[in-house]
Amino acid sequence: MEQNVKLTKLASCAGCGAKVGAGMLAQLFDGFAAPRDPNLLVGFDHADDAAVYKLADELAIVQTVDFFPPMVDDPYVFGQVAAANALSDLYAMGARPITALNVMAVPEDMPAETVRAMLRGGLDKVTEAGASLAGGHSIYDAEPKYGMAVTGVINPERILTNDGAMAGDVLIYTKPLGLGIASTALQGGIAAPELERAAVQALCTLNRGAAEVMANHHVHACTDITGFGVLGHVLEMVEGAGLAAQIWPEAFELLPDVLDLASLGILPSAVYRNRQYAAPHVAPGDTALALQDVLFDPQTSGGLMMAVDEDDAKALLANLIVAGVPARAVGRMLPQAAREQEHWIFLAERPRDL
Amino acid sequence: MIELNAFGETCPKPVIRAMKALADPVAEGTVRVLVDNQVAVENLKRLGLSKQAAITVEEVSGGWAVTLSGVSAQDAADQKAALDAPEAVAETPQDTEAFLGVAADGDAKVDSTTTVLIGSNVLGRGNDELGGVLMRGVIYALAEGAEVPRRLICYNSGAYLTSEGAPTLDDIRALERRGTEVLTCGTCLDYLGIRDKLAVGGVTNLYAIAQALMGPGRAVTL
Repeated sequence: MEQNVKLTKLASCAGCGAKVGAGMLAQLFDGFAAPRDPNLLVGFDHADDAAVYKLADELAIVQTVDFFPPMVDDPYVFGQVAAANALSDLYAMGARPITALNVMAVPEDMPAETVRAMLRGGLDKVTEAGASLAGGHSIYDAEPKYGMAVTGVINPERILTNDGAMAGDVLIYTKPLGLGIASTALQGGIAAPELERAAVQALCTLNRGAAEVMANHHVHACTDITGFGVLGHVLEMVEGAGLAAQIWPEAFELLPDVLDLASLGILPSAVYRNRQYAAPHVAPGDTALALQDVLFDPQTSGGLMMAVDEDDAKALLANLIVAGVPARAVGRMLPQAAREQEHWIFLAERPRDL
Repeated sequence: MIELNAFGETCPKPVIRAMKALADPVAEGTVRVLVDNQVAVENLKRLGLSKQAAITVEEVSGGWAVTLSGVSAQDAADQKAALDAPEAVAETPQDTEAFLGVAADGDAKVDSTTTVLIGSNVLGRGNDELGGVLMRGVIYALAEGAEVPRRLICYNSGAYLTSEGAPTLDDIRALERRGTEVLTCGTCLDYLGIRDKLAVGGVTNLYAIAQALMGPGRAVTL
């Protein structure tokens, strides 16, 4: 009977906006002994997207888990978004997903068909990814949450981490920006239909296509942009590689209305958390406040940020576009010498040649 | 002035309530909002900036009082129009489902198996003027049919059919309303230089088109 369950009304925080801030996470794990197993190639000390464990010379497993409260009302869409988001960490490392486990918390009184729709959304995306849904774990909780623990495989020689960028690399991003702001507007019931449509489409899109194109190019580092926003994640890339970077705010494709919503203050709280964490390292230049906020906006199921060899950048961009990925060149890695004291990331105008 | 108590409210709520209050003539361009979190204070400051309001923040017991004043009546009226429009649409939750073609369960009007592929802006070979009329006709017929297809994918010059100014637009929108997922090849839009003209449905890629061809359903090419 109860068909119109508005999922976002049950959530206090939208999607990846619920993520514990990067600064807080670093504090929480500070001083913990790192695992010593030499086969653990990527662990939590890396602040990377997923853990990688080598099983044999040419085979490693990649594991990651992601779950969050709903950022859209439609349970089937939410299920798809949660799965696409969880799988994204694997794609960011260049891995191929093989299995997925559901992680779910639902209110006891949530109608069975709503829960089923959510699970069906998750299953459909896992199937689209070519992986198998192999089980899961569910608990009751007043605030619904859904996500997945996913496992992929990769040749250890071909792992893409977020810290391998080189000076001169061009940064390419593969989805429209503003998903956190869009979710906030949806939750507040003020999103225009075009925004809702574009956001749902971007949220549900697997990063598979982008990752498959990326595998054939000279990409040195990659991460998926999620809860810490563009500048939070780029800061991790810059810090990991010991470099600096230029970001071209005007070069991003933005979801419809996002800039207006940002200037009206329709911002998820994580924008401020991300700003607090990353802003000390960002020289904003004369970028308008609203556009800065968009660059701090937490992205649920965001796109891939690739650092590609500058000689290969145009070819990668063209191949991504041919594959239907709305990719844009959005910045460039700079040598460490370009850092100006605490400022490692510089917001600037896009040069004419890209 | 309107005063709002937004204690205990997070993220978009206080700022949206403030926007609505500002749009109310009773406010005469001034709202005072009581909030208990810093995020709400910052969001309200941004709203004030965008409305060229005078902004004051005072600490009160349990939080802050943010006052935005001097918002022009015109600005407030624009605000009201902008707020009213999307809400009217948001009240029909089926819209999203219909767009995604996920209402298939129990919705007998969507033929859940058929994908229609359209690779040209004209139907059939020969006279293109005739072909254009025929294409318009067949899409109209699809939109009026007892069952609508699960998916409609436009590629090559078919991408013109979903773009601004196309005579087929109304009927394709009708298909979408009835549950058909409408997709256009992104490569084609880029090649034709009309990506920003896309007026209905989403963008897809060759990978998705291949999946539609090889998937369990039926694919029909026009």
